[in-house]
Amino acid sequence: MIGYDNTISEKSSPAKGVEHISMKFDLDIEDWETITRADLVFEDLSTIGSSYALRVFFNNKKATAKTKRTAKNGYAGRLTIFGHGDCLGSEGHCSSASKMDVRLDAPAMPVLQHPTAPMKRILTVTPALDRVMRRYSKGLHTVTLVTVLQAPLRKKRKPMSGLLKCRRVSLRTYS
Amino acid sequence: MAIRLSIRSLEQSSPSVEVLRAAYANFKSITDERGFDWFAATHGAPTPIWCPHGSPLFLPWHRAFLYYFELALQTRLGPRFTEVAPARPEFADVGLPWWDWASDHSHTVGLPQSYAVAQVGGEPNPMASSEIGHSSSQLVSGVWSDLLVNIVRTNPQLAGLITDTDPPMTLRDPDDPDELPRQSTIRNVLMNMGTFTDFTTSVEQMHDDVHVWVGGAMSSVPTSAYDPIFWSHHCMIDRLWHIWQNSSNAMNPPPDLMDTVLAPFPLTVAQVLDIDRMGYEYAVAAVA
Repeated sequence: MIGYDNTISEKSSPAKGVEHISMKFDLDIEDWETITRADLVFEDLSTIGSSYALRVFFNNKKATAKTKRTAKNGYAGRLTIFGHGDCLGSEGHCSSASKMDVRLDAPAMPVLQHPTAPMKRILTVTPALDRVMRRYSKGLHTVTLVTVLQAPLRKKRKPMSGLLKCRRVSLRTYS
Repeated sequence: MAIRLSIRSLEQSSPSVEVLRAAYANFKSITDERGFDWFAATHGAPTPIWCPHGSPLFLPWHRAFLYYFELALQTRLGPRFTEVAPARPEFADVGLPWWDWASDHSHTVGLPQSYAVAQVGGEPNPMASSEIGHSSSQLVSGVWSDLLVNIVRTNPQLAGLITDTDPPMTLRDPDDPDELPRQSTIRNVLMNMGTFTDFTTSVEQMHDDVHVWVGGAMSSVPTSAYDPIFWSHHCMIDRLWHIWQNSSNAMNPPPDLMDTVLAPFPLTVAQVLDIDRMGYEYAVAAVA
């Protein structure tokens, strides 16, 4: 059962590859005791472009790509986005509204969706959120997202802004 | 029936891995729709990108993909995805091995040795790398492979996917072995995901981690299937789905998807749900 659905209220970009998301998370420690799972949900996430890693930190506005991924630093987990690369076709070829995605009203045969259609990604953050709820009286106030370009060569991997393209990020809890 | 074993098991049985290597070499020498090049191109590029990612069809589509790939590796694939008598009987029983990237061994050594060594007996190891557009004389992928190679070589962000000089060979640059997905993550996914959508989303995330962990050609959809480790990585993903299907948590894909055709393959979602009916199984090891 979904208990809470907290959507991004504002975003800011303090450093290369770093985004802060302020969240209003109206849950006190007593409510938290009833929660069995918490997910950070990324909706309509684009995969066009390069592959990248998305590292998530809770209540740590100073987190960057160099921050150690430890509980002490508020590290909550990571996602890797497997990029489809750049478009090899003409304009519109990789748009999810291109002709591959057109459906008939009553199709005789169901068809595959466009391969670059935006996707949903879920990062289960239950242990990290549990630590936050027990450590901070005001609970979770900031989610810091650090995006690192996962270039084919490790030496070329670096924090980069603009990689994350998604319609909505929300925190969902289940009891 | 093909029995898909772990790579680790194959590596501990010398003749088996040599037969697999020979089957790959033969597969790569075929220049029509039954050859390695066609399958590698079908996943991403140069031909139209077919593979659905981020969709409930991710697991069914790749199961169909691996099924026909394995038939072709066994020299049992005929025209229009028909099954024929093996052209090379010595490869007829070769099963695709699965790479358990969450194992303690993988977290120590990283890539499996049989896929990592560049040469075997003084010859290039066909499981270590592939040439993009090897069968450029044929229509299915050859027309577009030059375009793909050119795009990759002229985009600085894509440096390291393939070699800078001809022939265009796939490259890798694997990360620290301990960055591979962990057994605890697999356990969580298998035991706690109670809907097909949650399961496929979670498995695909592990899948993405491994693609990018390998680096090089594997880190980008259009080139990834040219790397032979792609097939053993996806075999592991398919195995995880099979294990979950046999668990008490298992659920089928949504009913409205059951009749979806997994193009370009002539199979529907419903037809790939039971691997026993498809004629293969998974085992850790096999004793003759």
